[in-house]
Amino acid sequence: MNRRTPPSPPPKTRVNLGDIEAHEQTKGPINLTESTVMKGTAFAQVDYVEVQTNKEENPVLLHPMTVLFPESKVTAIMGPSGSGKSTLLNFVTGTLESGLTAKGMVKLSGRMGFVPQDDRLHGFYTCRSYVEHYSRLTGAKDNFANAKHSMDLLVGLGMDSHSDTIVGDMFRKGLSGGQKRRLSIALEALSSPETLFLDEPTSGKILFLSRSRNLFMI
Amino acid sequence: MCHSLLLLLILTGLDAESAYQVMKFLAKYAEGSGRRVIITIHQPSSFVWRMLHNIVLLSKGKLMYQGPRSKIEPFFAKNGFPCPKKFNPADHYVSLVNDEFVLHEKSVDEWAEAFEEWQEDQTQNDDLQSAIVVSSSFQQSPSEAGTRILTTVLPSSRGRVHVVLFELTRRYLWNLICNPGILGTRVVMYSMLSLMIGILFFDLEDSTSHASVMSRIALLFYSVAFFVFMSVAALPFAVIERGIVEKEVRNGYYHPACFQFAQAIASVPGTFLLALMTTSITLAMTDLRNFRAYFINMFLALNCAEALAQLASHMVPHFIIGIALIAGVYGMFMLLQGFMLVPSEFPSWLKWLHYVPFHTYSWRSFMVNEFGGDVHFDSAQFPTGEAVLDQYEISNVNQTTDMLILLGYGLFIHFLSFAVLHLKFIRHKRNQVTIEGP
Repeated sequence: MNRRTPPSPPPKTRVNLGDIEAHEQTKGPINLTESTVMKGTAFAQVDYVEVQTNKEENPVLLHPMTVLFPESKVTAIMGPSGSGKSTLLNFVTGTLESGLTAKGMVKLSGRMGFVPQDDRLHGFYTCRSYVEHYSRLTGAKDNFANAKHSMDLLVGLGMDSHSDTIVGDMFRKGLSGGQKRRLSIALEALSSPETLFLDEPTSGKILFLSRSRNLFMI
Repeated sequence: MCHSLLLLLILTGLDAESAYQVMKFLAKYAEGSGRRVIITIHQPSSFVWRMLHNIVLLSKGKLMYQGPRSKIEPFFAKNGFPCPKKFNPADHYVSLVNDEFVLHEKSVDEWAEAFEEWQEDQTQNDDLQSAIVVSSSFQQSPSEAGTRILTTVLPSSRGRVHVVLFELTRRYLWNLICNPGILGTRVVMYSMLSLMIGILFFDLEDSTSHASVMSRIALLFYSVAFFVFMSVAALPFAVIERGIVEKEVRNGYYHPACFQFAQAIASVPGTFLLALMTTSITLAMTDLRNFRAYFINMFLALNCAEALAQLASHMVPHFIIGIALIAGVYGMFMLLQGFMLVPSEFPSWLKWLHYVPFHTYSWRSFMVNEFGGDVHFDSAQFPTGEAVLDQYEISNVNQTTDMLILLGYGLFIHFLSFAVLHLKFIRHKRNQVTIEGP
């Protein structure tokens, strides 16, 4: 299948990532209209994001800033609670809540896949049948995804041993919180979006860490 | 205390591993592929920290740092706050820029200034330079940037429409079967209430007393009012479903109208089952007249109720508000349907309101079904069925027309759902205007 760039040299911080090569090789066709100058310079320029009020000065959620999102990299938006992490993410994805007013611009090439903070999943699917359903729903099956590609995704996220476990809901027990998170990621990664957004992908787990830390403090 | 600590530590270990696996996967996803991964993260563990390439640090909506992870330590060290040894760097930096507590060293504004100065020094940061050039060329473009967010959107990953419709319908049907919350609880509740009706009004049709006439009228009012009302039970699950659909629409998998179409089709079997069950139990026990007409009426009324629950699910921020909204609407509809007050008694300027609820058409058809034709009672007030219909001013009602109205009513609500979803979709798209590269 088409690949946009030749394989890049190994990055400085090489991580042993296990065997999920197939995922890259089976990437879907890419329609790039941007010139090569633009490559790697995805960015978001915020002029402001404010809460819309009738008062003279609106409460500001994000001040002016230009943020870069280099390609082939994992960019983490960090900060204390209420610092504007999710607002910036929503600004970039163009899904700011109503009641906010914003100005700025975002430059991102290709398709976007968004994994929200709360896992929005149907309880009755097994991991395997969910991935199969998504590959038909998103058209990935017609383009590039096959059974091996789907399975590789589950293996890559350590979900292969749960591939026949149902997601579960309030009536039936199924995957744990962390496993649901990983399934959500696999489902969005399935159609190989150029930019994958994740709101707190490791939350739930971090919650346990901080809880245990509190216990130590007691 | 010790036991619970041990348990938590085991959980901690497992979850750290899980977080690590996620990050490992994401790093691999981005690496060398030209793709990028953007995450928000509150407080990464030191394991996770080491797997991040690029950091954007915010505090109070201001930029505290952005750039490679490898350069964040030089930045904070230069400003006099290097990360202490054996300390989680992420914790260190995040707490440094948090000035909400008394013990902070620098305010957010001071950090923002410090970063701006530092960034100016970093002239070797070619990426940033080129981005600033690019962004200024956008500013000159005559596009109506205004208060919009501009995003380049390239074709999204979509299956063919018929495949999407098939998949969504099948998914909804499976959900109906597998999730007892959607249909199962209602099957139990509807059958129990039908049984109760059957027990209380057992063999009602055999009696011709005045009391039996009143019972028939009350029973038919209850059949419309309550069984329709119970459709609010579907709302919480419709709102959960909406969350999933919003995610999928946001990711460009299909137009939300596809979902509404699938939902409208897939909810028919459930409605059919509920109507069949209610009609069978009620009519078998009370012996009321004309099974087929009763069933069709119940089915079409429940269909309207289902459509209205779906419409509400697209409009409300939370299902509790949806339940309150639907309950309010049905309360109003019951008042207006012609049972509490006959149409001629309505204030003249509110007469039209009698024709708004679908309850009106359903209830009067139930009445005609029961009291129409040559029926006689041992009652001075209602010697014939016709007298009952006259009392409620519904003797001229045509059941077939009313059934067609009910069918159209349901379709109209589905159409409103389409409209609501389409408007929401347009609003979503307006935030994602396509712009050409320079």
